[in-house]
Amino acid sequence: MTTKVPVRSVFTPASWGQRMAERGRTAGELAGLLIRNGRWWLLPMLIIMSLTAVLLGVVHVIEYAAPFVYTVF
Amino acid sequence: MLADQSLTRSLVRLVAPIVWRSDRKMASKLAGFAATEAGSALDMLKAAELCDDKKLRRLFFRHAMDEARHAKMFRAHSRLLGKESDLQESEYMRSSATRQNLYQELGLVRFLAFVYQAEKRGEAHFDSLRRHFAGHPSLEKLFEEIGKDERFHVAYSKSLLKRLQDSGREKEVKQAKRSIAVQTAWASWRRAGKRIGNVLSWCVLAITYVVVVPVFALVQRITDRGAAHGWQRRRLPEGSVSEMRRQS
Amino acid sequence: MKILGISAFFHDAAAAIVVDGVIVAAAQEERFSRIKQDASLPVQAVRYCLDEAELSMAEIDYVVFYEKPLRKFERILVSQLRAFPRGLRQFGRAMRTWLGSRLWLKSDICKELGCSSQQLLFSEHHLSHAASAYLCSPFQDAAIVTIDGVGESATTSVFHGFAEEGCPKIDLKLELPYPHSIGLLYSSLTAYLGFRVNEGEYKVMGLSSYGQPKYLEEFASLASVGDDGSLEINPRYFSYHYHATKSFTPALEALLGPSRIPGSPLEYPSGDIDMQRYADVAASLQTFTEEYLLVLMGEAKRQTQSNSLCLAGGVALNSVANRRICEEGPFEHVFVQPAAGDAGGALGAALYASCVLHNDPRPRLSSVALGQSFAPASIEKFLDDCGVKYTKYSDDEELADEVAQRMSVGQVGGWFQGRFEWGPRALGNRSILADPRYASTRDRVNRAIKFREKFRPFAPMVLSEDTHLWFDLGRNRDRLLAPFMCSVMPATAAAKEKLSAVVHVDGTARVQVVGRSSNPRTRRLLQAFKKKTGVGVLLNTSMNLKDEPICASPAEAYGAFVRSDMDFLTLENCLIVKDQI
Repeated sequence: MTTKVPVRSVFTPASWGQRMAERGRTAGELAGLLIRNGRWWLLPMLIIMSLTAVLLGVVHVIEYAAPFVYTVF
Repeated sequence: MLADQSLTRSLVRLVAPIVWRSDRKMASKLAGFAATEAGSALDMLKAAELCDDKKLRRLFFRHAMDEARHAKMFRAHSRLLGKESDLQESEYMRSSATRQNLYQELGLVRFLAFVYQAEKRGEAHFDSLRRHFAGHPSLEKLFEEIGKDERFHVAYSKSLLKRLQDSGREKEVKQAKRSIAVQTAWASWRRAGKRIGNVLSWCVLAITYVVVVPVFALVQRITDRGAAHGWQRRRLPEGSVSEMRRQS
Repeated sequence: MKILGISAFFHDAAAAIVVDGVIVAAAQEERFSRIKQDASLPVQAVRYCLDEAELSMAEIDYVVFYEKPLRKFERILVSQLRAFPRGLRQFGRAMRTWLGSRLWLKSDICKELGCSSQQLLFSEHHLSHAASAYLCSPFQDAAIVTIDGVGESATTSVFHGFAEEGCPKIDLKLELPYPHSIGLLYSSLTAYLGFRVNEGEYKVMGLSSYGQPKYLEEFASLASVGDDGSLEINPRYFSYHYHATKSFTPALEALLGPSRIPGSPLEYPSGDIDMQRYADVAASLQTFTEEYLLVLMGEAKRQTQSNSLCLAGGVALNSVANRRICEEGPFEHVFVQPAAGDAGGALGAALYASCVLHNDPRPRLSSVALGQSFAPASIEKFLDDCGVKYTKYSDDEELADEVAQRMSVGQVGGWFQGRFEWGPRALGNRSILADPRYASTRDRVNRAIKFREKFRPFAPMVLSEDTHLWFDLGRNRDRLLAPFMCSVMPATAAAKEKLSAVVHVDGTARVQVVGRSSNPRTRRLLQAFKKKTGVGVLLNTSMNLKDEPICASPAEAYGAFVRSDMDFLTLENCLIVKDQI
């Protein structure tokens, strides 16, 4: 029917480097917001949580490689 | 593929007595089947909508109509077996049909390979259930009837793949079959991985909640002026592009 | 300016495109993905909007996201710490969602949509809602009230919309902070009554008509309403701020009785004590909400001194409350954004950037047909290719006559034409239509076509010139709402006698008035039906089956047709009849 996708709307995704830089800016903006609102003391918690998130991300990647990797933990 | 089919049959033989143990369970399973078939109908309809070849379109369309009919049959049998009231919750949770947009995502050849392999598994599954329900007043006939359609779906998708092979796209078809088989297995693997990963991340977060969060909750309690209530007055920032670039 | 608005990641993701102040297209992602209230980034809806506007992403000046994510994250963090140690599950869920993906939505949007971060702007949640209502309304000066569950941190906001040197401005007057939310109170009680949150609120509204507001005293202890229109929730009864899956506490059940198990039977009229209690709780909730909204409107009037009111936010979809606001509230004119829920935020975000930031002309929302359409020739080819038997009508009058004839003998059918509707309601472009005169038709549509609960009412569509014959227009302040089915009207004695399928048990109906300038083909059908039966009214319900989104394409409409007991289906000018296929 009329649902063929014209070339014009095929997107050009941003590169990995650009995305990481953008994430860095977002983290900076979040820190700025918390400092502005007097909640700077939340930053250590967020850093710990982010490290946990990275750890969980790594665990997920390993899980994809071998679902039963948990047995070595 | 044969190994895959016999695995399906053995698995069904093994778990059927547990999964289909009562009328209520049967009704709930059938409602689940109805949702799956309705979802397949939507995917096949989408394929019919998007493809240009008249013959393919007609076959996909017929397949969609078969799946829609199966959904109706499963739903009707589900209602017969389960008391309407008991079933409402499971139906409520499971009766909505979800389309996976397979045709758009896989492209024609891989889509056909997917249909062929999925229908082959489906045929084996329903055939095993037909055997399991031998002598059952309604379900034996139901699975037999649906099995017939599944056989047609296997046959037409196989012949379409063969036609493509004969037209000089042998390598592409073989690749598609392989890639779909690998993809299906990979998806199951990932599902298992994800489940375990979820459990693990819950554990890590729970530990964090108990070990890390209390300190900050305490600081929050000390510094908190209490949750705001009542109307708050705030000036909206000046509407400008630079202000709107901010996420905060 | 060419502005794309998007809303996503909560519920009901959507995209809208505004070019030089004209709304070119607007659609919810669910219509493309077929996942009800799909919350994921609306990639397909964006693609459709760009195609409709014949633009590439590079040609778009700005992409505007409908809220400020970091402010929302801050509110979640703080409320999680306040709830400690009760919120383990919600904390886990929130952190996984936010740290895993939502916090990085800016880079994800750039990646998925292929836009640059320089193109990306962020509006505020309630400001987006306010813009979606005010900038589409015909008013120069208006109070704007936005009410929903929660945005970044506000749950209810009062704005003032006005023009300054020809430019529209929106000024925030007041806002109510989380967790004090009439929207969340309504949703929590929706869960208490055994319905799905964000979806079952319509059912609660329908259910409320079967009960009496016997629990108003109890409701007064759930939340207190200030004279200034503020609301304070009693946290003893609610757990939505710390519990991941349950929004109310055992104290609520001690107050109102045990909650209803989802899926347990609801039949009315009923001698069952519990069933009647559920209806009474629903009635009390509805009355409490209406009374609160009236107080709130009084405050909005005091704050703005305006004669006109614009409403948006999920609570503005409560058509029964809207009628009372029109009839008993202090405003002469009222407008409600038809897509008042979060989907509407996409349009509001785009309109704010277009009209307020860049002074593009304001659009007038005269129709919600802003979605995808399908060329009749492509539909015919599809049907031919698939071997579906159909009759093609080259004359609209003939098609209308045939369909009217079929409905007059009790048949129920799908009516598919033009672009699909923006917002949650089908208004004659993706509708299932039937004769409104017989209650048996209503029961059949509920049971065998929509597969939904028997107690739920159906809405009528009526010729604008006949509205007064069937429905009490009252002070006619809801005339801007009536084309979009955003308000209910009491039925006249004639309607109660003759239109039993569309008059609810409380003697009202959620009317869609079909005017002379809108939707010509549907109007022609209403006229043909009137010629045959003397009734210029039809039962209208959306073309979808239970728990599915409204159909977008002809193939999906055909899918719904064969999976239900519909007797016929029109796809543009083609008529398909069930017993002939």
